[in-house]
Amino acid sequence: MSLATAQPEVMPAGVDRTANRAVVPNAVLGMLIFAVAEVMFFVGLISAFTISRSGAMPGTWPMPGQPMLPKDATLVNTVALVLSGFVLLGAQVAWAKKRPVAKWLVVAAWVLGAAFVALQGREWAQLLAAGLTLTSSRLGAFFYLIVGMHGLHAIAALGGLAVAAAQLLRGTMKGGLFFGVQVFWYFVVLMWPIIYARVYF
Amino acid sequence: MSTAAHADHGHDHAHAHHEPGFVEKYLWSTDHKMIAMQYLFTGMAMALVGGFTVYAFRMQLAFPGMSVPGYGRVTATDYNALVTTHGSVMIFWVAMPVLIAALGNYLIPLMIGCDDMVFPRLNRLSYQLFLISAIILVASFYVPGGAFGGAWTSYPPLSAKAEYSLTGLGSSMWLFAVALEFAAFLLGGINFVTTVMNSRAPGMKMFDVPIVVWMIIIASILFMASVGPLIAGAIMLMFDQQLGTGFFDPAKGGDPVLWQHLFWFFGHPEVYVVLLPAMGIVAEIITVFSRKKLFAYKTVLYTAIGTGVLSFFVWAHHQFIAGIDPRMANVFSVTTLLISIPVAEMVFVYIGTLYGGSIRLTTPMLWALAFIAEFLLGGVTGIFLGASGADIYFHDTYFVVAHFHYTFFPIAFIGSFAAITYWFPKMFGKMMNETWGKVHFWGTIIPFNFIFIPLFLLGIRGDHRRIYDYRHFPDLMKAGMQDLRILATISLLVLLAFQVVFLVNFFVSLFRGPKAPMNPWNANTLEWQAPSPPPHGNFPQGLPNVYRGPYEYSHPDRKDDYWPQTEPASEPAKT
Amino acid sequence: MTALSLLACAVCGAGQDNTEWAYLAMTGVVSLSPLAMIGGVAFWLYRASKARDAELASGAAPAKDPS
Repeated sequence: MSLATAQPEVMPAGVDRTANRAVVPNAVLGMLIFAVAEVMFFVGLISAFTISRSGAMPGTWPMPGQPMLPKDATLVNTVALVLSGFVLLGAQVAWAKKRPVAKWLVVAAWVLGAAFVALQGREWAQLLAAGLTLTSSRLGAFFYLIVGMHGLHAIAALGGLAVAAAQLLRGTMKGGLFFGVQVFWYFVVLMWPIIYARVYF
Repeated sequence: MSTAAHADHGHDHAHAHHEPGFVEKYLWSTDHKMIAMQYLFTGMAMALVGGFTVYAFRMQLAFPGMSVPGYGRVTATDYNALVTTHGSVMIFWVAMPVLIAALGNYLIPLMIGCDDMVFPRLNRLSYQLFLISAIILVASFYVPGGAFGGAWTSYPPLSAKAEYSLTGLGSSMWLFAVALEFAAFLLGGINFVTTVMNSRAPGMKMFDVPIVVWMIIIASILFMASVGPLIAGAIMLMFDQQLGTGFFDPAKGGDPVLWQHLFWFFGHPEVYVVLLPAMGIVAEIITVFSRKKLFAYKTVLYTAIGTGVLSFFVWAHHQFIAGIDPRMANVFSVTTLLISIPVAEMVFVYIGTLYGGSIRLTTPMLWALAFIAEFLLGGVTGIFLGASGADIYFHDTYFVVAHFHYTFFPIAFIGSFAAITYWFPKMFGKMMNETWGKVHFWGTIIPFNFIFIPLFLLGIRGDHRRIYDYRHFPDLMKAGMQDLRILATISLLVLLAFQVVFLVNFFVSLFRGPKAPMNPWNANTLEWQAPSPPPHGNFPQGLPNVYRGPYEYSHPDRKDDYWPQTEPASEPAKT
Repeated sequence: MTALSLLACAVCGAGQDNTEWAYLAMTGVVSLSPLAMIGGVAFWLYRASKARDAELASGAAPAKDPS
């Protein structure tokens, strides 16, 4: 808007007005809208799970003879993921203040996130060995579907975070990508406690 | 089917020749106008597929057992596949790409005065995903078992297991195509909202944005907020089909009604997703051709937002006979009747805009007026279906079919024809032939009513909609019922024949039409300040500044009866 | 699998309190969460654009023509 102070009839071509008009960065807004759609995806899955579970006959949830979900062991994963979210928030604060520690905080957040995914993988292997499969019961089907979808999002977000970390380490980061990746990572982090509380208990 | 599939390719080639460059460049462009054209031509090609399928199955209904010219004998399985494909194609591959994707991509950057979308490569990816989804859908006709035949709503358990649907691969391809298409529109919607928020021309305040842009934005937000549960349901259904889980299969403890909830939670907002852009198109056209300011701009905007909010609370009216809690049915009856209020209000506002204006009956204006009249009929019959008591009688009869065609046909076709005839000079730099445009208009509107009024009458007499051959149902062959079916089918043939007029007019005008001036309709909005057709970057003389709202027609302070948004007030000398 | 189909019953929960509660609660969650999220984002954008306009107005003359 400030460019219009001279009241020209038309703007000179090639002037970047996007930066002038942008209320919030494009990457943040775009990713935020995407995250809203993604949250609705998980809301759909969780509501289906809740309704399906409530309609089960008494004593058939979980199916007799099927392993229980390891809710205590998964607490460790949960703590790792939530911690990673806070570390990334710290990285943003440090980056805004132009502190060099920001890049190492992003790396730390990535390591914590990767630890979450690795622990989830180990848990899946144990459950599969114990006989909980996709077709063994509806609990199994929903467990692998919901937790698997969250895991896929976590892996995708880790990929984005890795690119952001590499750009920060090389000093080529301008901001847009970092903000977008952050929004997506917070979505992954915030979605998990809800899934954990709904599916494991 | 093969003829329609070939016609599909024919269009792509015709378009590739007319645009400078090669097919690769055509498919890989990031220019919003090119992507809009890609969506438009793909949508038109898919409309031919949808039109061909309806031709085949309507012939079977009117003349059961006959060998349909161009198709052959329609078997029961074919019939199911044709009906399913007709519904899916017309909603997901015609209404959505033309009204939201093509017009959104074309109009948003031009109307808000910027050079392109903020994420152009995401935009290109959006079209590519959409094209793949369309190809998968058409290809499903040629796999063993044929295309999916479980209706566009794809209710399990019929759709969940190959043993029931008999189209194992076809069902999965249908589902995959639909999910992919939603991913494409998700990317498009993110682009639309971000672009309008961040790239408006200097001086363009929120209330200077043309209504059609607002409508596309509200529709995109509605789409993105409602599509998640359906994608979740689609993945669950895919697991049921391919991996043997039992989310929706009652034989494994699943709940088939759950799919209906997930589907209609998206499915009903989807109606408003396509309705709102059509309403926006009509708003633009009636203001230009009645030379009057849009009556109550802010009311239209808030009404559209209200419609969007309410549309999240109406979905269960599709399930009144699915065994849902009757108390919930009451609630959803009330919300369904309530949502007719904002829509009626919008129609009222449009009539208020027309009142006292100097109306010019050009082809786009005729389409816009027809939209209001025909959509009104669809809306009024919706009241009967929204009341749960009446719906129990009408459910799954041709009354429902006629009702939603009276809403969807105005949206998908009347709205699109209005938009194409109105923006054709800008899109292609040529004028369309008005006389042939009017011939096409009357040749479409009159048969349209002769198709669906008989279906209303049939529906009231209890004609069930999912029947392949009525000769097996003597109760539905009573006095005159078959005559009404034949009348509907003959009218359909007339309607389809008149679409040839449109296609010929479209392509002849495209290549041989008179050159269009920059602003042939004397309209105010920014796209008319760009050359016709706009070059890459849209505004070669520089991006515009905005000084006023989009609907300043017949302003008393000005000699001209229009006042472009880019013109400052500092020229009262003209009066 | 055999045990599963023996125990399968899609409608056995119908009418139970917890089933009805689940349907009603999930109807509420699914309908209200998109509105809450969109409302939140829209409000945040509104605040941000107000702040941006105020910032611009203090630094520069308004672009809007006074008419």
